[in-house]
Amino acid sequence: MTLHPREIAINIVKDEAEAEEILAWLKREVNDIWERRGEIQPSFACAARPRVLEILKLLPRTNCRGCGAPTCMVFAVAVSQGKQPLDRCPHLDPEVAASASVASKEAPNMMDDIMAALGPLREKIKALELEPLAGPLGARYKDGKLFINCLGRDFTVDREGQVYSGCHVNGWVAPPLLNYVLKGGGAEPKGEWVPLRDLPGGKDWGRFFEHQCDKRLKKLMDDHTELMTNLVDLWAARPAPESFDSDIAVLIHPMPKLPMLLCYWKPEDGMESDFHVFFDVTAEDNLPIESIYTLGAGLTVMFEKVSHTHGG
Amino acid sequence: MLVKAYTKSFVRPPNPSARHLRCFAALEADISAALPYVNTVLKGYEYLTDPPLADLKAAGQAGDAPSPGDRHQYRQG
Repeated sequence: MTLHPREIAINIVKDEAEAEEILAWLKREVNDIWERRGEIQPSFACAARPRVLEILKLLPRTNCRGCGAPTCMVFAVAVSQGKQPLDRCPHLDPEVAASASVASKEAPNMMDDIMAALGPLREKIKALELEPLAGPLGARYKDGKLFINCLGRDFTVDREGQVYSGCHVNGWVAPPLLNYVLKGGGAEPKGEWVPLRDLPGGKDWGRFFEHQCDKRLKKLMDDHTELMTNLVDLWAARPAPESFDSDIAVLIHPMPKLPMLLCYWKPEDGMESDFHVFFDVTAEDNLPIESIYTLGAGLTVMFEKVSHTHGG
Repeated sequence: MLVKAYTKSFVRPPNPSARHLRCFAALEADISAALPYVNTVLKGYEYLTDPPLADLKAAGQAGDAPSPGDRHQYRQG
């Protein structure tokens, strides 16, 4: 359930009656809390959440689907987001689940998870010969390093798997960049666009992506429509007029062979505005679905920062 | 009373096999000022300040609301 200033969104309800029940409860709670606000300390912080990797370590990592999730990683993400209880894993010893007390651990730090993932990726990079990869990746090779253009800027990957850039390396970029190198440049983009959920492995990530990216970016565009124009200047985006009959569309290249099409439909005649990110149908040939999601979530964070510094 | 009325709308998730709905309730009143207090009491799972946004989770999950009876009631629906 997400409470916005003028909207309450409930992600999953069985039917209208259940929605009404939840809304009536929320209405009572919000009104009661508002009445008692003098005795309540307002909070702008988040409750503690477990980390994805901590949860994953507890799971069998066999992707047995016994919990209903397609992989242990997807299940771990769902648990970390509070969408699934840990004991839904049928292979987890109940005592382990209870003693794990993951919910009581310190606040989550997604960036810690991402940085922790870098170690194994770097080890895999060390085993690669980088030079032959330059062409397939759409990159350049010089002095033992790959130069990969991301959003108009060159990022460098060396033999040790270290990532450098002339600007600050956003933590969200490094793991997808290494995974892009490891994937080896599997396919040329075809110019056929689909939402993330329609990529071969995207079904289970689609809902997360809509929540973490599409929805937040729509809100950003509603408030800062000029942001698209700023992207053209900042991130070497290209206008992509008439894409899906959208009002504004731009094409960006977070990786040379991983383009993203951002489309915004302005509100019109009582219709709400809309925003969607589309991927080339070949996206998963060039980057694993988890990294595509991570990249999208990271770009959303960067968009939000850009809107604060360049937006109106 | 801050929240007096709302208008509900429903959408079907894009996943073709999904059987649940998503509900959006448009509020007549702006509840921005109440959100930090709601976040405290209902133990928000995620809170953003600009624009204000409080993300809550259902029972048995992170960000439990504090009234088990009420939650049980709506989760049994």
